[in-house]
Amino acid sequence: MNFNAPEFPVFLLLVFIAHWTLPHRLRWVALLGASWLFYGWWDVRAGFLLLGVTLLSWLCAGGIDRAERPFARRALLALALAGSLGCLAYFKYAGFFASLIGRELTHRILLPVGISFYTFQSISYVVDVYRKRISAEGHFGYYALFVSFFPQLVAGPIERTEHLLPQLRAERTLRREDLSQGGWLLLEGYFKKLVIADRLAVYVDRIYGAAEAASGPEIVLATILFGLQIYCDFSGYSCIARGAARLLGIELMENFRRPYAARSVREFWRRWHISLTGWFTDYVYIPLGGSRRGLFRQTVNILIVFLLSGLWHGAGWSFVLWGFIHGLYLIAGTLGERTGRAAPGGRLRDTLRQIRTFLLVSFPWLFFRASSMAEAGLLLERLFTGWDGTFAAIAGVLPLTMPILCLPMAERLTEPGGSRSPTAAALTVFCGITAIGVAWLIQLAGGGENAFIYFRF
Amino acid sequence: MNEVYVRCVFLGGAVLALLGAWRRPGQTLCQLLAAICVASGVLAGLLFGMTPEALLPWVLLVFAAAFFARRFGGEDGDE
Repeated sequence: MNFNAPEFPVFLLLVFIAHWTLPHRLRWVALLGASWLFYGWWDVRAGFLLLGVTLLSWLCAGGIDRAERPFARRALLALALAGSLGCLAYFKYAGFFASLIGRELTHRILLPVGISFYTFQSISYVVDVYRKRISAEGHFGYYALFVSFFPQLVAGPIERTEHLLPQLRAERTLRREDLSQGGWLLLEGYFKKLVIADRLAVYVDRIYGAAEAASGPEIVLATILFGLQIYCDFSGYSCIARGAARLLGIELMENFRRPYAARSVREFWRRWHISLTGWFTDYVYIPLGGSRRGLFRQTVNILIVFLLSGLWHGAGWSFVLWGFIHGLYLIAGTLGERTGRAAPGGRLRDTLRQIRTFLLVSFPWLFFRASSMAEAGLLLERLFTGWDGTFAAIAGVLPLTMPILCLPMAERLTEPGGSRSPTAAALTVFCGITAIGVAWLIQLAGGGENAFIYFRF
Repeated sequence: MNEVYVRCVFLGGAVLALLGAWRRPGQTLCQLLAAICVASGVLAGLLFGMTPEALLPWVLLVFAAAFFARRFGGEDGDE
């Protein structure tokens, strides 16, 4: 089930009613059933994989918690990691690994939606139990709900046990604040996805779909717009996820914090897909030694993290290259910090840094969006050679300026203390809903729903 | 000519939404009329054969004005 499918609002309403009318001891049953139904809507077979990963990680964590001998604890940890990562490797990367050794797969492997997200979430749970940061959850139902909670199941945020599990266990009451904030988050999310991201996608898909005919200016614009598209698409999804969870009294972590306002690439990664950055920091970068083993080792660790991050996003060399470029940026920033003085502040300097960061981050989006390295190469070639007076194509972007200009306003919808006048707030809601309705009509007229980009990962 | 009418309705809605930003008598009425303008503009536009793509920018214009009203408006000035 997609968040922008017509059946999702009906599903959410039914879950909302069931959740708040049932007694506390039965709520986890209703939520777990709803979450499995939500996931099984895509493909029932993928639901069995989700159940398998959940069961394996729960059993291993329970064993780790009870085991006293270090060998047993390590063996169970290795089993949990091998199982989760093995599933991920098979379902997502089998074709990629086969191509590395010059082979092709003889059968088609279905990629379960959200596998990258729930495997990482279950791994974080097992590792945290192993590190004795938390105790193992004894109730399978609550743990299964933690892994498969439907708002964040298929595209994050990748929650931590100590943040989400206590909320799922706690007895909650319906508060006006949850309704209000949940509603605003849903409005912001759908606005970003339907009104902005899906409108930008029309132009971006047109340019990237005919790379050999695209001009340099068109590729520049399409790449920049893709950066905005993927931001609105993914942060819109996160807003919808947080809004849906908030209606159920659950607060999911913030996953985006205006990343394009970052003044450096390092700051960008503290604002973009915050849950994934945190996961890689805690479970890859720090165990590798982080910055504690010298500059050379730190740069190697940064590169490893970003190569893995690129690979996590997709089984293809273009994604690896995207991650590699960001790794180089981080390394350059680290070296710059160590060798240079602290940069002076000031509004103009900050603005210039933001523009610089935006341009640096925009370039690798070309590789992220390209369907293959061959297409990326073609786009790069056209980028540098296709400047032969086709600036008229830029006029096609003009209708998109209005949705883009609405982006900062849409983001401020959920800022605290925004509304001073209830009637003005109602008017904003009315217009926002109308805009979403019109955009949805456009989408349906174009033939079907546009899936969220991060559902592929 | 019909499209001009529809655009005028949206522009009127945007102006009314902006007028509703300031604390003054009739603020609520302005905002209500702005909402009616959006609704009638969309309906009329679709009836007159305007495509949703053509309507969307105008709806966003009123949204932006309404947002401005919400963000910077004072307390309801109606007595």
